[in-house]
Amino acid sequence: MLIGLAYGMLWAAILAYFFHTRTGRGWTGWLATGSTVISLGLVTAALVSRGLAAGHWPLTNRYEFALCFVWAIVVVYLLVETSWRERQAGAWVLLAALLVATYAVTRSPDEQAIAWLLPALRSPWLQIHVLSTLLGYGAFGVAAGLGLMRLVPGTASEGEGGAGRLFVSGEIERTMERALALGFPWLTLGILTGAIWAQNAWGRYWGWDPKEVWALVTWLWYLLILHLRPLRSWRGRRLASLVVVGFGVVLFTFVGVPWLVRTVRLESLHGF
Amino acid sequence: MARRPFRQVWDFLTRLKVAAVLVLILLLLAALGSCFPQIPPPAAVDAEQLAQWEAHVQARYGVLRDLLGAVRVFRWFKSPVFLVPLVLLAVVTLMCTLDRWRVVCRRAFRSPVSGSDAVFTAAPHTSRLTGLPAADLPCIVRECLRQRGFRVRSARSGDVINLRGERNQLATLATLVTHLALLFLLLGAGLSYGWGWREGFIIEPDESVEVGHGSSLALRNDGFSISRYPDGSVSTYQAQVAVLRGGQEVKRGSVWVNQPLTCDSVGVYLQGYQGGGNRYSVTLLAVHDPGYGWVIAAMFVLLASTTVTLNFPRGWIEARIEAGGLLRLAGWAERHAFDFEREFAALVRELSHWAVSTQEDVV
Repeated sequence: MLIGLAYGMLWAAILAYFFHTRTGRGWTGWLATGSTVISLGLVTAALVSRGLAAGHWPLTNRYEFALCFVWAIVVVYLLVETSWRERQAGAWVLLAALLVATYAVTRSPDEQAIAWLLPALRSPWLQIHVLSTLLGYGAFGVAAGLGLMRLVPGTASEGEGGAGRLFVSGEIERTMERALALGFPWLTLGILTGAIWAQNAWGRYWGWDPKEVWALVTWLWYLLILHLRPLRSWRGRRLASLVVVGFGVVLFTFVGVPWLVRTVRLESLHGF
Repeated sequence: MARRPFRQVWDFLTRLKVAAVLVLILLLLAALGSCFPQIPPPAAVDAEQLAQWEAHVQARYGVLRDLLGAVRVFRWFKSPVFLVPLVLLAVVTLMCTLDRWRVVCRRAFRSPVSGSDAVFTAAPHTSRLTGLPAADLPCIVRECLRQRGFRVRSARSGDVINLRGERNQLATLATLVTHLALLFLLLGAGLSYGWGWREGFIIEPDESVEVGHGSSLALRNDGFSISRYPDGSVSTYQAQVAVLRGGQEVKRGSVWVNQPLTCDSVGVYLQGYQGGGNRYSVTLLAVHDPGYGWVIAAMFVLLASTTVTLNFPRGWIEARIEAGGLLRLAGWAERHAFDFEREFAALVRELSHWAVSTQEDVV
């Protein structure tokens, strides 16, 4: 119920942000931000009630992770909007959240059901590992939305000078890079805490499990972006493309790896 | 002359693009490797398990099995195809660290107070203010910079006073620390791979087994308990394990899934159980991993240094006060000092308020 409402509000927020970008009317901006805040409140309420009902943090399966992922993207976006005092990126960034939310609401009832906590998940590292990874993913989602905005013609003016209501591309790129700078340490912390947890649970900190490999691939992708960023020839649209692709890698690590494990019949300890 | 080819190779390998290409190659190889089943560690040291696993792979891949085996896709992450670029990346990382060490240390510890005249024209942010109160100007500039978190030093040369404000000056070192941490991480992984061992045991109740690997330890299963949820699924389970040396008990404790027992740098992990009623045999894993501490310490350092590099960028502002209240300003910051441009403009605005009659020229 709460999730359905939150999903609806997310759609409403995206439409309002698009309308606001087109018309520039103040009330549409407030409507967009208001819808986003309500959507965030509903997701938060759903997660809290789910956690209370389950007796553990709602971080134990892909459905719950997806809801937290949406929460993280929206929180990071609202921080960006507050510091930017601009709403033009809202529609683009919330598209990333909508993509993940759509994955969550289309899960089967079995996948959405509250499950008992598995013995392997009885660890304080669960919260630290998943929450730090989520904050990284949330920041990368925001960066991808900004990257998309940078790539779509007509949404940003080139160079550093402003041009009417069009956002300056340099400003978008700076905010995109700021989101990357925020996300990368959180992803690193997520991998670090995952390694400590794996050592405690399985006696090895790294086992080339498909999920671990793709966490490494994601980390290497963003490391690559951070290394290419100082090169002048890679700035602008090329960097934005890499950031958008990076979010694709994040999504593959999240939803693609279980599919890969099933399809190629691999063994993975990350079945939850 | 002999140095020239060496220098060319060195210059090539320390280029940022080379590191980027190696990172790209590694991530593509890692992604490719994730598409194939890897030989599980127990099968790699047990001929019977290896034969079972190979039969399983043969059934799945059929005629392709020999071809895939020949290119070592089933041991992908230990194959030269993967390890050579990894080692090359480590070498390039080390070379980049050595290459930049002096320059970075100079920037961090020995940046001069007064740069050349060219700084005031070539820096990304420059400004020129006139009509300022000459006598108070050094104090005003110093205070403005200090309020913005800059550490200020000054030097006088005749009538000219130079001030230099530095922020996050030592953050320059963080990139080097990141690279060193990566090297230590790989070193730790090498220690784990070369000197670590793992041994699994199924131990019946009240029985003990030798751990081996020269550890002179033995493990005894002293009991097992399991708790279940109302629907019968397993909530948690634990084994009572005694560690023996020469038949004498040296340590005893409960081993849970996330809570191993450690004795003499050997960790004992609970992997599973078999049986029912009051008789459960337990599957324990004994692990000696001398690289674990290195890897985790390196990752913490890596985390701290990347956080500093990405979120505490270095920036400096240089001020030159000349006769007659002429103030020239130059500013530079790393690319991810996102607000520096705004901050520089605000500083110029604030300083211009002190002018009796100011002419401002901001670039």
